[in-house]
Parts: sequence; C-alpha cells; structure tokens
Amino acid sequence: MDGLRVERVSKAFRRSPGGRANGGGSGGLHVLQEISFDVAPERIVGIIGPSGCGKTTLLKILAGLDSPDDGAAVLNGSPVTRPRPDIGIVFQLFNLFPWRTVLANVEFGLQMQRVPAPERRARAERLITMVGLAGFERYFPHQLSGGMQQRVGLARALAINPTLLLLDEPFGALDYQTAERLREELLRIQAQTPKMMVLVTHNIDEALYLCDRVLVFSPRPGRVTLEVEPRLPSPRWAHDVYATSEFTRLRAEIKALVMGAAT
Amino acid sequence: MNDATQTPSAATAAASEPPRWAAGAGRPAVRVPISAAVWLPTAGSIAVFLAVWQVLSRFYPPLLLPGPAAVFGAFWDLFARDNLANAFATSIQSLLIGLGLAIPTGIVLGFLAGVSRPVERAIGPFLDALYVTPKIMLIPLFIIWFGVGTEARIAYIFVVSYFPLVVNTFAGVRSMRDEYTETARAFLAGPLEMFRDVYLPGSIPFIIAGIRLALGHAIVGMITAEMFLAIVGLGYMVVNFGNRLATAKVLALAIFVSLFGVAVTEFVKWSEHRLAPWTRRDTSS
Repeated sequence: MDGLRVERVSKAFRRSPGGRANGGGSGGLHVLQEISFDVAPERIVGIIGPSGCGKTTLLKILAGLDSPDDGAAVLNGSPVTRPRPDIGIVFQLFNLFPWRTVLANVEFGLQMQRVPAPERRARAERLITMVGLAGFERYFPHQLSGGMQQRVGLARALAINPTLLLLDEPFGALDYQTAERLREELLRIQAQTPKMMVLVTHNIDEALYLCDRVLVFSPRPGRVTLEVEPRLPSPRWAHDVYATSEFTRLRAEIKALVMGAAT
Repeated sequence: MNDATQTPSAATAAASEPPRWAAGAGRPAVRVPISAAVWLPTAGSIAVFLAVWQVLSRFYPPLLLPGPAAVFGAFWDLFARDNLANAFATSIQSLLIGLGLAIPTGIVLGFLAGVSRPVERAIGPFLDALYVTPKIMLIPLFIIWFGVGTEARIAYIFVVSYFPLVVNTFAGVRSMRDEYTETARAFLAGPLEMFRDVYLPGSIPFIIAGIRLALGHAIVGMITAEMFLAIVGLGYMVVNFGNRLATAKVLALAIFVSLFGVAVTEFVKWSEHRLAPWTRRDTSS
C-alpha cells in the first residue's frame, strides 16, 4: 500500500525510572494518545498544536528516531522501526555539520547510503542548484545566513530522494521574509518533484499555506481535535491566498481551538 | 543578510547574497594586510624590553647580567664552538619519540573514555593521580628503570605530555551535541560513520588544543629530564654552562628554547587552520 499510515500511535515518557506515576494512569507522562492519520503520496500534511502537544515526538517516531509505545507508523507497507533510506528530515535549527562544507553536508545522506562518490557529487550539486546555492559549495555553514543554512538542510534531505520528507518547524528560526521566501520555494519544489511530506509547525498561516491537509493537536496528551483541507487557489504562491475567505475562515477556526486549548 | 532579496534562480542568489566578508562565491578567505596597529605594540614592547635590559646591564658585571649584545654573541659561540645544533638534534629526537608515543595513545584513550562511561570511571583515578603528582618525582624511578639514557628521557616526556591529550580528546567527544548524532542517525550513519564522520571531525579542535598543550609540557619535560639525567642535549648544556658561570650562554640557551617553543606553537596553530577550517570565524582572526 502506498503512502504513510499512522495507526493509533501512543507514547508516554517515564518521569523518572522507578519513580511514581505522573500524568496518566499507567505510570508516565502521556505525550501522544492514539494518533491516527494517513498521508497519500505527493501530499503535504501539517500538524499544528500548542507546544508540548507531542508534535516533535511524533515526527521523531515517523523518522524512526524514537519508537511508539503502542501503534505504528507504516510507510509503503512496512512499519518504521528505525531510520530508513526513504525518509528525509529537515530540522528547525538546521543541524548542519559545522565541519562539513555545503557540498559535503548535502552529500552526507548519500555517503551514509554508500552511493559512489561521482554520483553523489552530481546529485548534491543538482540539489544545491535547485535550492539556489550554486557557487556556495565550498562554504562552511557558519559563513552562511540562517536562510541559506536551511536551504542546505532542505537540499541534504532531498538529496537522498526520500519517499517521505519530514519537516520539524523548518522555518521557525528564520525571519519573516526569509521564511516566506523559503515556503514559496518549497511549494515550487513540490510542484516540480512532488513528495509526501509531514510538516510540524506552530504557525497557523504556514500550515494553511503549505499543506493539503492540516491536523490540529490538543495539548498533552496530543490528540487530533480538528482536521481541515484548505481549498485554496493553485498554485498558491501565485495568489494572495492569505486574503481568501477560505483562509481567514480556517485560520479563525484553528486559532479559536489552539488558543482556547492553551488557556 | 537578507534572504528576501533572493530569487530562486541560482545566479542571482549567488550574486545578491554573498557572506559579509566574501570577495566572491567559492573563494573562502581573503587575506588582509597586517596593519601597524597590530604589530606596533608587540614590536614596541620588545624594543623597550631590550633597551631596559641594555641599560641595566651597564650597572652589573657581565657575570650577573650580560647585555643583549653579549647574549647575541654567545648565541654564535654556541653554534660555532659548542655544537648547539648537535645538542638540539639529540633533544628533539627524544621529544619527537616521546610525543610520537603520547599523541596517538592519548587520543585513543581519550576517545574510549569519551564514548564509554565504564572506561571513564576506570581510568579516572589514574588520570587524577597523574595530574596532581609532580612528575619530576618520577625521575629517580625512571633512572632506576631505564638508566640515564634516551629511554628515561622519552619516558619522562611521554608522562608529562599524556594528560592534556587524554583530557582534551575526552572533552571533545563529550561536547558532541546530540543534535549532530541524532541527525547522523536519521541519515543512516552506522557506528563506523558515527566515529569517522561525526565524533572525529567534531573533536579535532579539542585534539589540536590538547596537542598544543602537550607540546608545551613536552618541551619543558625535555629540558628538565636532560638537566637531571643526561650528559647530552640542551638541558645538559644549560647545567654545564651554569656550573661554569657562563651567564650569557645560559641566557642564550633559554632564549633559544623559548623561540623554539613559540615556533612550534605557531606551527600547531597554523595546522589547526588547515585541519579545522570551520573554526575560523572571519579574516580578522
């Protein structure tokens, strides 16, 4: 079966080993409670919710970096139990390796997958050009602006040609204009080479602008409390989608839910 | 710097958003000529030092305080008559062998302690003991074990330079941030890649700092060992000229060793720029 299926995923953290139960009946801090949703190929699904709702934990489970206590994430028919070559990830704080040049950072995933050097060089250079950084291959991350660093992070994740791309608040650490520019480019890239994506964010506008479907999480333990599919003019970057009545209606709806839950 | 000025096209991106200091895309560094403001204070303080020394030397007999010119002359004597080059070569030989043994083994042990808590706990007391024990107390022991030859000097240089290597490498491994190991794991790094592509490059700045410290200790150790137990090398020359009250030659030797130490330290700093170019913040440093 193609696509990502998240089936009744639950996760609790133990407060302290052998310590007393806290927060839930079964001895831990419940972060995620029976999360279920599907992502079809070439679709972008957004997860939005207050901080502490387990968004990042869910993303780590989807990446195979963490395991659920119950339930499973199943990608193209096989459960995700460890990091996989068909899953790419983009981090909020970029997580570029400071000792590697732009080129070597983008090549990292391919190198780990033992792709031969000439091929991995060629693929990395193509991706660097695609994110607009041609000419910066030999620079180190500290020589680049935040926006440029996240372009490298995006290129590194796309270089392994993943089936599923995970984005953990990818534009949260950038200034407004830079983030807006990168969002537009993400949609352009998606139009050229569509991928299945899961985007975690706390930014309602970002979720509505980028995603085909948005899941709103409740505070801890995270549960899906609302699911919307923004119907916005396409391509979204070519229209002022923020001004459409659909957008303002959905934003108000999600905001009421998120803000109401937070108080 | 502002991403908003960029367009998706590569050419304009490169043109519109160069890093602050860059002369052009793909050219990592630009050398700035060193201005007088940089070298003048250093040169000035050296000139004042020499002048004060020259003046003071007029009030004392050369036996107590020879002037700069006399010490400079003693330098030539050391080379021409006392075979300084030979003694230096002998000293350097034990220095290189001692460091050659201490550097790889110290780095390996520091790495093992960094990745393994049991190893850390096992070697902890020995490292602490090595740190607080005046190493000079071990010299009689080395004489008993190795005699007064090269082996004892090598052993002493090894012991004095070992600690900073282990501790710095250990700190380098332990300072590795989780975000890098997690990222590497997400992109399928195995144990070998985690070592080769994450921990090792991430620790290089620490390891080089350890080597720099170890070199300083080793040079001190080299002279100390020679003064105590050798009839060769620079340390022996110092003792010998000291006994003969050849003050100018003792001073010349001290200056020679300190110049050597400065040169070696500068070389290590330079190699850090080569081996870990990502630690270079900008051209002014």
